[in-house]
Formats: sequence, C-alpha cells, structure tokens
Amino acid sequence: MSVPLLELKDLHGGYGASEVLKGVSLEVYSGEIVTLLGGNGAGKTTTLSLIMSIIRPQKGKIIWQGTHLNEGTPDGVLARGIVLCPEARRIFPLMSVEENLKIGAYLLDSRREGEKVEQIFDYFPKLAERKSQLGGTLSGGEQQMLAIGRSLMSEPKLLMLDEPSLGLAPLIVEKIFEILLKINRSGVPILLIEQNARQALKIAHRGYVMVTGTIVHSDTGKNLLESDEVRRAYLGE
Amino acid sequence: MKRAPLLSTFLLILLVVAMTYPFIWLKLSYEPLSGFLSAKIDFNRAKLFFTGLTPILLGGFLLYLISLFLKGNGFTQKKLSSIYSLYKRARKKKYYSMTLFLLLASISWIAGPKTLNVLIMVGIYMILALGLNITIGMTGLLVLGYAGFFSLGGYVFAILQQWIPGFTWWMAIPVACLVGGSMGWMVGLPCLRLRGDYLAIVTLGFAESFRELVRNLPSITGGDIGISIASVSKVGKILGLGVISSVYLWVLLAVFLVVMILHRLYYSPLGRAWTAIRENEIAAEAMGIPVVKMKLFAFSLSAVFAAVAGVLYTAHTGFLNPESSAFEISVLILAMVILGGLGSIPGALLGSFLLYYIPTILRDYIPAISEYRLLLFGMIMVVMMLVRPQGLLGSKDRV
Ligand SMILES: Nc1ncnc2c1ncn2[C@@H]1O[C@H](COP(=O)(O)OP(=O)(O)OP(=O)(O)O)[C@@H](O)[C@H]1O
Ligand SMILES: [Mg+2]
Repeated sequence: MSVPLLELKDLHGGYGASEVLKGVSLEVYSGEIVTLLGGNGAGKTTTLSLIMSIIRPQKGKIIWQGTHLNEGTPDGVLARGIVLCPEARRIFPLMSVEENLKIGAYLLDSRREGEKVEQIFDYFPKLAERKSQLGGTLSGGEQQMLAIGRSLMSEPKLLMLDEPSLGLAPLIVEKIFEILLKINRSGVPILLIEQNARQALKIAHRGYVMVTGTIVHSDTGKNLLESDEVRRAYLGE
Repeated sequence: MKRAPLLSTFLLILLVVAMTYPFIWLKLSYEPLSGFLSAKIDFNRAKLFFTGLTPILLGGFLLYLISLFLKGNGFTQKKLSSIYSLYKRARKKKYYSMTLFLLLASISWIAGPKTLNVLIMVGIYMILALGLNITIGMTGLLVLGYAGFFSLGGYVFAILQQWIPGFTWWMAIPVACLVGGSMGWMVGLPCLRLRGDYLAIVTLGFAESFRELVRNLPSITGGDIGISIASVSKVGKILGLGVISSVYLWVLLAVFLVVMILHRLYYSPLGRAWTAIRENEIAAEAMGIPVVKMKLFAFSLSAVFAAVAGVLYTAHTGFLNPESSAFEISVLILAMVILGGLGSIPGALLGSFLLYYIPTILRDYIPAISEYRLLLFGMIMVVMMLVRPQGLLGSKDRV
C-alpha cells in the first residue's frame, strides 16, 4: 500500500457559489473496496461528480495513478479508467438489455463488445435470460444489475457506485453486494457510496463517514461497524 | 374501455374546431407597400372550409373506426410489427435495394410530368424528414426552424450561380454541405452546451432571421421577389430523358444515398450513442459518451441534409424566394417525422409521402385543403397522440 490509486486532497466543490464539500481527503488503494457513508445531502454524490469532472472543484486536488486528474469532461475521465454507476440507476428504458450493455462499451474497441457482454452475463445470469427485454421493463433489482454490468463494460480500473441499494429489498441488496465482492476479487477496486451502512461495511475494507461536506471518521470496515458512534448514527442502535 | 378513446377523440376534434372556428372567419391581409395590416370577417370562408373539410373528417373518422375494428379482431400491434419485421428481413437480402431502386426509377419512363413533379417534391421532403429525424427522432433534440437550413442551401446555390457563370447544381451540393454543416455547428454550439430545449427556440429564431435577412438584401438575394436560376445551371437531361424525368432520377438517387448513410449510422456505435442521449442524457454522459459533441454532430448532419434538399429543390423549381424558410415548412417536416414515427427511417419516408402526396392529390378535388393544411396537421397529430403515440412505424413502445 504505497501510492494510492485515487487520492482526493482537501477537495472543495459545489454548485455555483454554494460550497457543498468543505475539504474532503480520501484515498482508494488498488484492490480495495472503500465505502463512503453519509446521510441525505451530505455531499456523497457531489464527491463523485467532482471525480467524474461533471462539476469543477473550487479548491483541492484529485490525483489518479500519481497524476492530476484534469481531463475536463466525463468521457475523458472514463478514458482514464474511472467509471461511475450513477444514482437511481438511469438505465436506457427503451433499449434492450444487450443494447444497454453495449452503450457501456462505447469507448472500447467495438469488436470486443460481444465478448464483454458474455463476461457480464457470467456475473449476472439473470440478465442473460432477459437479453432482449427492454431496460425499462426490468424490475428494480434487475435494473441495478444492468447498471452495474453496463459500468463494467468499459473495463474500468476503478468502479464507483452511487447508492446501488436504493429502493431495493434487503435480500436483493445482499445478492448485489455479493456480486460486488466477486467483481472486486477479480481485480476491480470499488468506491461504494451508501446509506445502507451495515451492508456496505460488511464488504468494505475501509470506510469514510461524511457529514455536511466533511469527513468525520475513517477506519477499517470492521472497526466502523463496531464503533458506537456509527452504530448510533447509521445503524439505528 | 373501447368507447372511451372514441369519445375522447371526438371531443378533442370538436375542441380543435371550436377553438379555430373564429379564426376561420377572419381574413387577414397585409399590404407590403404601406405596411398596413387589415382584418376582415368573411363568412363565406367558413362555409367553404366546412364543405371542403367534411369529406376529410369523415374519411379520417372512418379510418379510425376501421383501426378500432381491426384491434377488436386481434389485429394488434403484434401483427403490424410482424409485417415490419418481414420488411426488415427483406432489407437484409442483397439485391433488394437495387431492385427497388430500378423499380422506382422506371416510374420516370411511365409517369407523366404532373405525377413526376409531385414525386420529386415527395423525395425532397423525404430527405428533409430523414434529416430532421436525426435530431428530433434519434437524438431527441427538438428543432423548430429546420426550414431555415433548407432555405440556406437553396440560396447558396441560387447566389453562386448568379455570381459564377456556368455554375451548375451538382457543383452547389458540396458547397451547400459545407455551408449548411458549419451553419448548423455555429447555431448549435451555444445552445447544445446547455441542457434543455434551447435548440428549438434558437433554430426557430435562425429560420425567421434568415428569412428577414434574405428579404432585406435585395441586391444579393433578390429580396421578396426571389432569384431565378439560369438555364445552364439547371439539371441536364440524362439517358435521353426529359428534364423532369432526370430531376426525378437524381432526387431518387439522393433519397437512396441518404437512407443508406442513415441506416449505416443508426446501427453503428454512433447511432447507439445518439439513442442513449435521447433516452437518458446523464447516464449517457456517465458512460463516456461526449454528449455535447454528439449532439452537435447530429444537428450539423441534419443541417447538411436540409441544405442538400434546398439545392435540389431550387434546381427543380428553378426559382427560390424567402418563403422557403417559412415556419409552415418547418412544421410540415416536423409533422412528417412525428406521423411516421420518431427515430424510424421507414417512418420518415412514409410520413413525408402521406403528408405531401395525399394533400396534393386531394387539392384537385377540395380546393380549401391547401389553406387549412396546418389545421389538418394539428388534428392528425392529436389523433396520432391518442391512437398511436409512437407514430405509424415507430418500432418501440413507450414504457
Ligand atoms: N445540481 C445541484 N445544484 C445545486 N445544489 C445541488 C445540486 N445537486 C446537489 N445539490 C446540493 O448539494 C448538497 C449535497 O448533495 P449530494 O447530492 O451530494 O448529497 P448526497 O450525499 O448524495 O445525498 P443523497 O444520499 O440524498 O443522495 C445538497 O444540499 C443538495 O441540495
Ligand atoms: Mg446522492
């Protein structure tokens, strides 16, 4: 664990004049699952938007594989190997499951599309069954699987997920997190944004807790799960 | 369940008629010299309108009843789409398009000049509808002033043939492509960087200001009177055919080329990227699609097609005036795309055929129809939204 894969250094950012992030520092090392926890409006999605260059930082640095990440556009960031599986899934409702996946490989050599799709179907056999069904007609859980699969199509070096458990039944959440663990074991580091702290901390190596734009705790997943403060604030105990 | 749509369609038509009825009486006239605008109430017009419109309304209603009957008898969308997939399979066969081209080309030997004239205009509108379909259908960008680019292409040709003796229509095609494409890029650049339907308003403004510009530059553009095309610049005879037959063949070739280009693009990663932008812009961005660039490209390409159509139109009629960028034409093209089915290539072809060919044929029998075309289009749109919101050949259902 020498040089972090992704490093945020004293990052400030927000929308217009309003500052949402007030100095966030965070690292992701290769091979890790890191989770960023926080309540509604803490600034989790904003952090991801800053990394993806959807919005610009007001202050601070984003360092990716040792160099400044100033690509300027989301497609530039994606070309460098960071992918975002956005909040609320946002699949393409009138495209089939297969077409949805192929969009994810937009930056990839199109000859390899087919092979990648098969690989995704290995992770999510449910999607293979529903290959030609329209995305919008999938269930919530299936849509989330599709969104994750679509993100993996670009062969990312870092997978960022924004609240994949949103609106899903606990059983499905558990299943999806199991698959995330499997994806991680195959060599993809993950930055996981969650409100479902218990589930996230179970699979995460390390975690950060964010409150109104600042990091208030950071520790290993196990320690955070056992910490009194986190238990009280996020696990309702 | 079955009566409800029938009733609501009827009520909506009634509403449209009630809302427009007072305006039918109103006759506006404009004196260009004095700039005086006068309004008169003319009851005769209303009478004429309704005698003319009744057969059309009845016909439309009959068609609607037939469609309801077919639906009740299991002739559902499944059957319609099976016909569509048959057509799709036929497309894949190697010589299908070649045969179709030759068949359509043979019309130029058979048909008289009057029919050919109409068919040429249908072809030009097909190119326009296909072009507009790129932005509004495939990429989901609303464009309200598409005729501005059509007019631009026409004027590029008309002005150049005035300046350069011996300049012919086919020389104008690459120039029009260049000018149309760069104008599309320039008009699109400021508003496509923003989310939302700014493009609709900006293009509307472009078409109107282009028309005003042309009207107020009489030394270059001929002003309100327009420009006539020198006979050397017009379309020459090919294969020993008459001039009209030759124009028809060129337009036919152009339509085929445009369809081929679009078909290729639509089923490439580029076309998929356009669809992704239409379906969900944020997700498309997250998937690494350069959204602004793709939108700009789609819009510029559609401006190129409009400009080419403008050159063909001017070469065909031998004359061009500022009315070529009228809002009415933009609306007509839009109606063709929506009727045929957003995003569908065969839909755009069918839509332009129906909305140009049928009114033209009917005009001989019902003179009022050309005056109330827009009103009719409005009604067709209302009925379409109720009965088949995805358009006649729209291939995918709304969720
Ligand atoms: N586009 C925007 N324009 C202005 N303010 C915004 C915008 N998006 C988010 N905000 C504000 O920034 C703050 C942080 O929002 P953010 O979406 O990062 O929260 P979050 O931690 O992801 O919350 P949640 O768990 O509810 O998704 C909120 O106060 C929100 O109102
Ligand atoms: Mg959020």
